[in-house]
Amino acid sequence: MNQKQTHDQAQEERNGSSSNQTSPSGDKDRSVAEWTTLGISIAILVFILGLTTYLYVRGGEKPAAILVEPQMQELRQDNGGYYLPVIVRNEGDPTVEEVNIEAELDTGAGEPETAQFTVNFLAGGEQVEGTFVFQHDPAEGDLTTRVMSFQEP
Amino acid sequence: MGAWAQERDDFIRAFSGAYIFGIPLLFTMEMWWIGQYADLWKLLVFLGLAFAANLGLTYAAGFKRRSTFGTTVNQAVDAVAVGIVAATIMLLLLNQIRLTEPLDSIVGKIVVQAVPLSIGASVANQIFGKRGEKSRQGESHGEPMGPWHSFFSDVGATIIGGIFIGFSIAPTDEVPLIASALDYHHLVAVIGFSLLVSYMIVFASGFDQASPQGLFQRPFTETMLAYLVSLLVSFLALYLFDQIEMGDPVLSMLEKTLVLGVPATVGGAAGRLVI
Repeated sequence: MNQKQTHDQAQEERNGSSSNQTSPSGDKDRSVAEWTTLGISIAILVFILGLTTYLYVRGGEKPAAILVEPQMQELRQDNGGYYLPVIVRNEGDPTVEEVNIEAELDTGAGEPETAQFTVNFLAGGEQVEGTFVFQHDPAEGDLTTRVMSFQEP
Repeated sequence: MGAWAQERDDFIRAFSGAYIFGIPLLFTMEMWWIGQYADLWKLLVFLGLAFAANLGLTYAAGFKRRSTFGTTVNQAVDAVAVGIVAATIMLLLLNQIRLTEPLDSIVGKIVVQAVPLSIGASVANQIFGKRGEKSRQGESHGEPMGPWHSFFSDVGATIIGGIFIGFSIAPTDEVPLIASALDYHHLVAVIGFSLLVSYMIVFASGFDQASPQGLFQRPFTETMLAYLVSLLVSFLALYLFDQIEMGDPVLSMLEKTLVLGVPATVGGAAGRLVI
């Protein structure tokens, strides 16, 4: 009797406490634990599917437009150079590659100074930070920044 | 075993299988880029493919024990969900998804990685099921190994497994690329995660069934020792492939070693299961 009881208990444990053994469906021995994890799994799937579908439907094919914003307040001087951080942002939707950014600094004395860098990948809406290094103080001259070129993959 | 413990074991197995199978692709930058600029409809196709592949695989070899139509679909759903979660965790850990990124790029990276990871979750039972148990049992049924013998055989398996996966990733540009993108918090998380995965894989192999003897036979010491061995393998691999040179800043060496330590640990743990 004792043995049978422990056997039944073990059986019940395996099946989970709320399983309905007389249910004719194939899920009769699915436990609460299994239902819970299945529920969480379905929620994750539905979330990702829904998000992807939403982003797809929202779509938008705004062509790539690159914005360059010098961060003058973060300008610093080091090792005889002026370090000017800039934020490069893709305001369009498609990803672009090999974005060439150039800055020209005209201090009025001699030839204007130029500096440039390349951003490898810039997804739609993404922003990255780069730094221009000048010999002269950008705060004292006429600074222009521009995007020279990019590729569309 | 209670139903919750059963579920826990099933999912630990699934996550372990996902990482063993998917770790090389998680360390592939082309995969990140594809996810970043893939057309969104392609991501939906990827998800569909992952589900179909897992249905087929689950039918043949699922990570749970029973197999009716209901449980087959159930397991395929679970496997894809495990793939998505495993991809999210690893990409966050390697700092390859950031909250400043556009949403479609984050979703893209996760979905692309979820395909191989979910397949790994589905074949988990093949990796850890009978074969894994047999090798553990073989150890205890045959000539009983002395503690030192079994210690060295486990260290050897860890090294071989670590080399197997670590050497295929060590020469790639991903290692310095990931290393340079990690800050202090990420490094700590990388260490914690490596230990956790190592422990998970050891646990998933049905550790408690093996006879406890030797230093490698206690889960905690096995995990710690295996991690140290894996880090050593990583360091050597990086040195041999010229990714680390003597005289480099110590922090940079450490970062690269810890980064390669993730796949090396996964490989090492898998090695102990197979050998």
